[in-house]
Amino acid sequence: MSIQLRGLHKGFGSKKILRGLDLDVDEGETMSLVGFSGAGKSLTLKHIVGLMKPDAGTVHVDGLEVPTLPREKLFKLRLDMGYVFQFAALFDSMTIGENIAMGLRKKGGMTQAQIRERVEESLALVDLAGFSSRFPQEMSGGQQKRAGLARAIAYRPKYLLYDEPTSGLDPVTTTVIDRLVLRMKKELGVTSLVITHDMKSAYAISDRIGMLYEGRLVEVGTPQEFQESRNPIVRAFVEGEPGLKHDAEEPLPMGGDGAAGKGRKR
Amino acid sequence: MLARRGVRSYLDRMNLSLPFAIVGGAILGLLSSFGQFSRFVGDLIRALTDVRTWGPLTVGQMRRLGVDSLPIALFLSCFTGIVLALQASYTFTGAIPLYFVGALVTKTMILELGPVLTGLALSGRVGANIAAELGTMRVSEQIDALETMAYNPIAYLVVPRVLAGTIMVPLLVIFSNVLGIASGWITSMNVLDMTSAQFVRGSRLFYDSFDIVYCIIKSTSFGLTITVLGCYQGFNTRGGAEGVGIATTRAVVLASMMILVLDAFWALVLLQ
Amino acid sequence: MKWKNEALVGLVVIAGILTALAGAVWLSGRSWSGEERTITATFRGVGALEVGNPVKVRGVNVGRVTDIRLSERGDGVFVNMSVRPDIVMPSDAGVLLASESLFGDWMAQIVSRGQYPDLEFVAAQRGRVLPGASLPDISELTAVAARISSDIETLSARIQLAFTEETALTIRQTLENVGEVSDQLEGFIGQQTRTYDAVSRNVLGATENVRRTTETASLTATDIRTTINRGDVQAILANARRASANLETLSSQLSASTGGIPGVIARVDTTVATFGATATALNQTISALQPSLAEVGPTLVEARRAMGTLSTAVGAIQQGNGTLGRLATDPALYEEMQRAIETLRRLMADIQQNPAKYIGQVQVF
Ligand SMILES: Nc1ncnc2c1ncn2[C@@H]1O[C@H](COP(=O)(O)OP(=O)(O)O)[C@@H](O)[C@H]1O
Ligand SMILES: [Mg+2]
Repeated sequence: MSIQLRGLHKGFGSKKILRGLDLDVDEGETMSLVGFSGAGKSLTLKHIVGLMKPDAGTVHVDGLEVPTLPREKLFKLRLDMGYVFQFAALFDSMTIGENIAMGLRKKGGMTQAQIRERVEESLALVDLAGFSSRFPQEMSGGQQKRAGLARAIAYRPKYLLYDEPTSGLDPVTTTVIDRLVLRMKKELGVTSLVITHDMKSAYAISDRIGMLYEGRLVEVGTPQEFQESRNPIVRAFVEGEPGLKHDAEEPLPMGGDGAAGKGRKR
Repeated sequence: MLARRGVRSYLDRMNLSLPFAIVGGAILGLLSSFGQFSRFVGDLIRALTDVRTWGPLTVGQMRRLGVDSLPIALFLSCFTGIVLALQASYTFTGAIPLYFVGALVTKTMILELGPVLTGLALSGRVGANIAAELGTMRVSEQIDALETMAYNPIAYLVVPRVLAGTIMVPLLVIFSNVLGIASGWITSMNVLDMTSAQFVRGSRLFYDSFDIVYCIIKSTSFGLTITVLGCYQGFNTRGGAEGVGIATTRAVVLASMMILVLDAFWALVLLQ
Repeated sequence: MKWKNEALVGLVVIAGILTALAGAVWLSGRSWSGEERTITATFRGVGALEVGNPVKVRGVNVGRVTDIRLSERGDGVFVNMSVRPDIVMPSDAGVLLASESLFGDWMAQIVSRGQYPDLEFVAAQRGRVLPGASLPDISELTAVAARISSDIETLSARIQLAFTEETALTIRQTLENVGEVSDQLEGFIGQQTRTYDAVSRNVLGATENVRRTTETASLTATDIRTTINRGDVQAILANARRASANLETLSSQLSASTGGIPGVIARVDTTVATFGATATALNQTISALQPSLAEVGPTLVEARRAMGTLSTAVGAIQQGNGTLGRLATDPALYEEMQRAIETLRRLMADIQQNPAKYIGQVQVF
């Protein structure tokens, strides 16, 4: 069943961002979503977890329609989804360990000791072993990002939504993260949707790649097909050819690249 | 002739619907922000049932917002008491028995200055603190993160703060009153050459048991207002650091204004 | 360590609640020990008494009013008071209700009835219920005083318009009334002199003279009845009017000053000033009488001297440097003044109950 978006429309005022987006992520599949900055990639993820309500169209996860789901059921569904935020979004009043334990506590069924063990294990997966008593402010941007990833995978969700998990990381760490994504899929059968700008890692981890442009998917296919695509937009994006019309406004971090804290969701 | 044509064409050129559009827009804006606020309050009330989420967090907020505000509240009331005693004696030159200083200090402290000054100070300290914290959490997507981990952010962030404020502000006001009266008392004895008995006699002269009830009702409403407005502004922050700044300023200004409005409201409703 | 927040918050919350409760009890002046004794008294009416008003014995606060309710038949009021268990009740104890300060709250005083022979206490039907009485409120009294003085003025005005032989009788009675009022006022001055110890001896002597003078004035009036002649009477009446105008000023000052203690002080000032003016007026009345009444000459000369002394005394009080200044700051003096005022109030009560005694004949016209 998995994730299924149909005819998704979303706009803010006169600005129409998503214009009839259709997207399917099949069970156990890893799909990458690429596109220019401001194309609405983060916005798409927010629709999947129900942080945003569509203006039109449907969002189905696990066969449940997310926008109309009653609160209780939505919360239950969210515990099956892990969300890696573009700017980590760690709770800065807590240590990294407490951040990671939040989801575990909510999911329940674990003792204190088991939680502590799981926290360490998750941190080790992102190369942050021993960081659990640090506060987010005491870590670099890249470390924060990995801690955010650890927080999302800690409670073993069935779906993982990564919002640019590797942007801003050094090449070695990028490889570590890529391997982690693959491992989650292989060992736990996780269904993933990865937003990325990095074509190299997109080819490495994806079963399929989709390109979002002007509110729609203009190309979907396996890495092989994607590389060989004749679509001029895809070509321009892959080759980094300027001149193509796109929404070039790239807001500053915290200024909310896209959805960062703008508006309400209900 | 010419003039009339000029006026005509001016009117023609002018978009006549513009004033109506402005008024209508203002009313709609007001209604929608009112609607948004009532929805927030509705969510807040509904989140009260989620005791397991807010229960463990409330004590921490009571500490942060309440206990840690004690010094500022006490500092303020200590000086208020001194000034009240001195000004009372200055006003009552000769003609009025000095023990009226006790009556004025006690009555003013309990009925007005204790609650209102503490309320205003806390709308700065507590209201700004809440709005800035929640605003930062909003713009850095921490509130979204909470939601994706199946936490109800209202129950997790708002309810503990609102409860803590509503419980702690009246208590802070009580301590303020005691210290204000005590400092007025000490001032009367040491600076104004009154005896302790005179001050006590004056304090009791016009005391009514409803005074304290009134004071508590009033300060509870202040605590509720400060925290609800702080949370509302923080929760609806937009934009980055600038947005947080705007939300914080708004929270403080609105809370201060509401405190004065409520002050008049309670006086009208309860003292008539 | 984990419980540090909880402990601290709990401590502050509990301390806050206890402080509020303790503060409320302390401010209300209730006794800390739970031991209390309840006494009950019965009254015809309770004026402005309310639950929570203080109960006093010789001016000392010993408890408070806890309950006020109508009797079963509705013809009286029962008042419960909670008092200290250790107070000693007089054998003929009664409860007297009066306002605590002139315009402030009321209080219940436990008194010995023997001290108030002119007050009528409601007899208690049941055992252990104390008989009670209440003093009328100052505003009612000033209304009566105002009525008397305006009656006198009307009377004088009419006499001047239509003077006949028959009205001589009325004039005499009017003068007697004025004399009697001044008599009572003199009692009030007597009370005040005890308060203003600095000038007391002077004033005491002076007021004694005032009393004698007014007596003489009454006698003189009797003589006028036989030897009346139009011109003298005109002069007397003019003076009587002036005196009554002063009385009226006093009344209006009394009822106008409702502002609490500042009012009390202003009123004492006015009262003193009015007595000064009244004394002057009486002085002039006496001067007017003198030519036609040679036989009382020596008395009048003496009276006039006394008036002079009184005026000086009043002037001294009005200066305010001595006694009034102290009155404002010394609670003991303040309490004495209250007692003086109570005397005035009893006079007024008497006027209210027996208006005929004072104004009976005034209604003639
Ligand atoms: N809450 C919001 N209010 C207004 N505009 C928004 C909001 N969220 C996103 N946007 C706008 O939607 C567009 C797409 O944002 P986003 O999905 O973050 O882009 P990206 O593809 O770079 O992740 C941006 O132009 C952004 O300004
Ligand atoms: Mg984005």
